[in-house]
Amino acid sequence: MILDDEVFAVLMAIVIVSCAIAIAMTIPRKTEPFAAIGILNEEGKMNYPRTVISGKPLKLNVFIDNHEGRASAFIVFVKLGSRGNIPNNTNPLNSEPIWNYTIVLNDRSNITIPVELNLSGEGNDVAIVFELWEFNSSKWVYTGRWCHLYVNLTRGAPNG
Amino acid sequence: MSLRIIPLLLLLIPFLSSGAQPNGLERALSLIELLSGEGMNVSRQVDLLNSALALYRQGKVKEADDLVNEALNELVSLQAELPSYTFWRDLWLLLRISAIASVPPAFYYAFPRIYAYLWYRARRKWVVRRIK
Repeated sequence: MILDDEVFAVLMAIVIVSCAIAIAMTIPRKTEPFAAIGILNEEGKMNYPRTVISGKPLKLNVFIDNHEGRASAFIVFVKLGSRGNIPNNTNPLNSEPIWNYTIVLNDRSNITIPVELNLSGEGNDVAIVFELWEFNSSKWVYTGRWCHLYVNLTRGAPNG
Repeated sequence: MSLRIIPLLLLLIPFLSSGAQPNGLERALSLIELLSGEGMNVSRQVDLLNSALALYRQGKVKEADDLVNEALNELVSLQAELPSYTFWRDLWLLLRISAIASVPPAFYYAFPRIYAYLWYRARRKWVVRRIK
């Protein structure tokens, strides 16, 4: 025999395993879809203001990332809450939005949007809540993704 | 029991589906969701809608509506191509998988023959000598 049977069997095994891997990589896989939201400061860093002067513009950035497996439209709502009065994974915050932004994102794309808020009044631990809503099956639905920032709202100059 | 529920559900369908008619922007967003979910490239329409949304924010409603209509028309055209797109996409996938799956049988059949042919070809000038 020119070609040894055992050598041929090993070669066949290598070919079969390689083809099985190639087929597994060819078949499109449905990855787990998700969308993400994040808050950044004015410079786009995760270093947030703790004290905000009432009436003075508060500049932030909001980051949205789409991995839903398709292009999707998103709305970011900014609402005001307080300590203990923030959204959860199923229910948005029950208060009127003070700012919103609508954007359509391709799959696996993201955007950082500048936000300028004018807050008035006074209070400690005011929660600035950013909620992410998505256009899904012909209606806007809360994605369960949110983030919040606690600030002290003062009338005077901040004490450091 | 289930047979009694079916006519009731059929009666309810027109009422369940009689929500507000979606406007141009919502229809465009629905189509973008549908078409991109099937793998169609809707980047241009996404850009058009984002431009329209920017114009809405600036209060330029007329220009924004024009862009939404342009995007919607393109999306409707793409939707008409969706059945043939999915057919050719699935066919191409099937062909690729079939081509890969046919490699092991082809290897099993052809490799020993090709090896033997090359083996003999490499030794065709050899002279056989009987050793006493």
